[in-house]
Amino acid sequence: MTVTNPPRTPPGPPGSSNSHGNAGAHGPHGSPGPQGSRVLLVDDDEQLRRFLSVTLTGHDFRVVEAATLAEAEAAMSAGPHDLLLLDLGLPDGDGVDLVRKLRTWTMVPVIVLSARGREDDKVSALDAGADDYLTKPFGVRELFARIRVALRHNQPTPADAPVLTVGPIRVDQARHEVTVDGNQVHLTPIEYKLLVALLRHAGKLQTYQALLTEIWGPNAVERVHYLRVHMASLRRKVEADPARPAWLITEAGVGYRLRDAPP
Amino acid sequence: MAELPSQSSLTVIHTETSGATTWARTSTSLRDKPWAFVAASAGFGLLTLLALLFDDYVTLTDLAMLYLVAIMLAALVGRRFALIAVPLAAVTLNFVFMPPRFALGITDAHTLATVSIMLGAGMAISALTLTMRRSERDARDRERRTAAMLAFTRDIAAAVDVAEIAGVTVHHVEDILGVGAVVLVHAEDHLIPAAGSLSLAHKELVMAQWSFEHGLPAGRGTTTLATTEVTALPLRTADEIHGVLVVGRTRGVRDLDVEQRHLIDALARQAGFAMRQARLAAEAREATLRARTEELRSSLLSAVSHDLRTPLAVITGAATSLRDDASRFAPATRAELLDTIVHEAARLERVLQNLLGITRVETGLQPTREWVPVEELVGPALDRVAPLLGARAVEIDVPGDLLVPVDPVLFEHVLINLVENSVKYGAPPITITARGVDDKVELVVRDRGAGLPAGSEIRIFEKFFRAPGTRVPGVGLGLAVCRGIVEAHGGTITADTAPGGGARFRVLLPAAGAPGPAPTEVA
Repeated sequence: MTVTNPPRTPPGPPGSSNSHGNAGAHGPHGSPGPQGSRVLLVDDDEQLRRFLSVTLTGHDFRVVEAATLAEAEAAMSAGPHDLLLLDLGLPDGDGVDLVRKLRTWTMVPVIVLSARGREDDKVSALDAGADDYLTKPFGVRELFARIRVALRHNQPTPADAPVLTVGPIRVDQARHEVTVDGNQVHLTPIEYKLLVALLRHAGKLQTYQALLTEIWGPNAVERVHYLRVHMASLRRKVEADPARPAWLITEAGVGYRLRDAPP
Repeated sequence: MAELPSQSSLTVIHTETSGATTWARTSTSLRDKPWAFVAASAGFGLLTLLALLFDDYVTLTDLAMLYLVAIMLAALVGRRFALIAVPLAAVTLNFVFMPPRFALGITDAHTLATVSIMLGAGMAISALTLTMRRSERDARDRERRTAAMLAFTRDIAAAVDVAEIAGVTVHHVEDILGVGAVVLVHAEDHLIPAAGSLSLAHKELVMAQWSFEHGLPAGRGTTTLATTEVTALPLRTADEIHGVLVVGRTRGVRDLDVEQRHLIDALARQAGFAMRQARLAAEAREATLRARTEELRSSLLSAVSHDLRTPLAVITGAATSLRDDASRFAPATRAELLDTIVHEAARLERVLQNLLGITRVETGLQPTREWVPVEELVGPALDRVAPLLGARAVEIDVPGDLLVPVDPVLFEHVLINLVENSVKYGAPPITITARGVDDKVELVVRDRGAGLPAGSEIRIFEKFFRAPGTRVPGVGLGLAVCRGIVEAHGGTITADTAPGGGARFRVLLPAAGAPGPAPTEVA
């Protein structure tokens, strides 16, 4: 989030994105997370655990595995973890319950692993306090992008940073000025709020509910379609091809995500 | 005259030709009409009085004619009146008007002739009237029975299952007899009511069970358990018994007459036939359904196993090559093998999605509709098929402010499958266009390939349909899933070959009542 004016990059092969800056010191799927971050990996499938464990260890994470809710709870109370990778369907209960329980005493980032088509499960896990989700099957690039964002957002975020930048998008909060590729764009107050909300949580999924609350206040539960309309008009002002957005990504049925690195 | 018996009873054992049904018959043949006797007597007295007053003006012949008219009137009221009126008229005529007056006795041949003719004519008239009345009543009864049977036949023909047949039977029995009735059918080893309001005591249920088991009527009015309040009639065909019709007690003291019994018998027989037909039809339907399910299952299995095995074979092959022969491959080859694995895994995922999709579509989808910009549907779908699309060009022409009420998660599948279809069977560029048409939103996905094989425009949306000669592997589920999802949204999907070539899929979704423009100020 430091490069101010990189060239716009349309969606394309990953090789073309190398000129891009991105959050922090890590590439989109280079060595993520601080050295030695502790990850608690909760999934009942041994093969999936093995694959994730090998991959994470290879990227200098320390991994603790748990196959059940009970094991996960024991591991959580045994030692501090920096991140939880949590499968929702566990043999001895629902992962959502674990999230709810954890959130009474810890803000450790939780990334939920779930199957496609189970958007309701995702939403309830996110409502319970999960930070993000990964839809199975997922690639390692996606996995590390989520982990990186989750770990970053666990650190205090400067909400009042005077300038917020992601890719070609730059918002000068002090001057209320928005530029894309250096060209000034005019946003309505709601579009501005929406963009700022997404920029603050760049890379992280924002549920409809979270965005509605942030923009309209806690009583705006019924306005999802308004949110969509504002999003559509924001895309037209910010995206080169609003039908195939490069930055303002729709997570169907769940919410929106502002990419913090080019696709 | 008031001493006449008001009721006469006779008991007849009526045996049907089939021999299966035995009715004990109890019937009433004379009506109880004390007022008619009084009126008739008064009329007769009045006639005699008037004749006396005008004694000087009427001849004996005129009087005889008058009394004949009176006899005829009496015969119209009833046979018994006529039988009484004839001798009464003869006696009155003789006693009052014939010489010697106010004395019985016939003095000359002429008077004898008059009285004899009168008696004869009176008898003939009463007999004729009676025959006429009886045939008229018979005709009326026949007509009523025929009408009742016709109505029943009509209703029972429209009944499709045992429950409806039972309902129709009970309705008509109650209508014709004015009594409560219930139809019991056999289910799980005992009789349960299928229709009807009559509730049965334990004893009556046992009797119904007996009737069901033996295929014979039982209860009141039959030769079995005749003291029971209700009558049980088996609903049977030649070789099976389908249920029991139980008829309650008639109102008043009278039992069913023989015509009503015939009618109920006929009704029960008809209901039995109808139940047999219904059972046979249900069995046939079930067999067809089983056959179709079987057929579906086998085609699903063969298609799915092919579609799952092919990518699995590729993945296994590429992965084992990399594991066992890694040193033999140039870096570029290794990268290619790895790409293949990723690509085939994505293909597996799409097959699985469509399998899940078709299952959901067939078990009844309940889309959660929300107003979504069409543009916002296109983006994620194209992202999902990006690896498949590769370098193929996609042209999008969708108004940014066009909203459509859909379930965004479900509808993503429609777009993914349509685009995948275009990639697999068509040729680029693929165009996606959308526009509002009246109260609808039209979404078109078109490619520039050879178009659809002629005649496959409709069948292409059927499950497992594969255009003849297709070489591209696939299950033939994608478009069926599309149709299922679109129809669950109340929309339609059609396909044709566009003018200028290429397959064109057109989705038409209802979109009435779009929400107003979003407020631009923060509330």
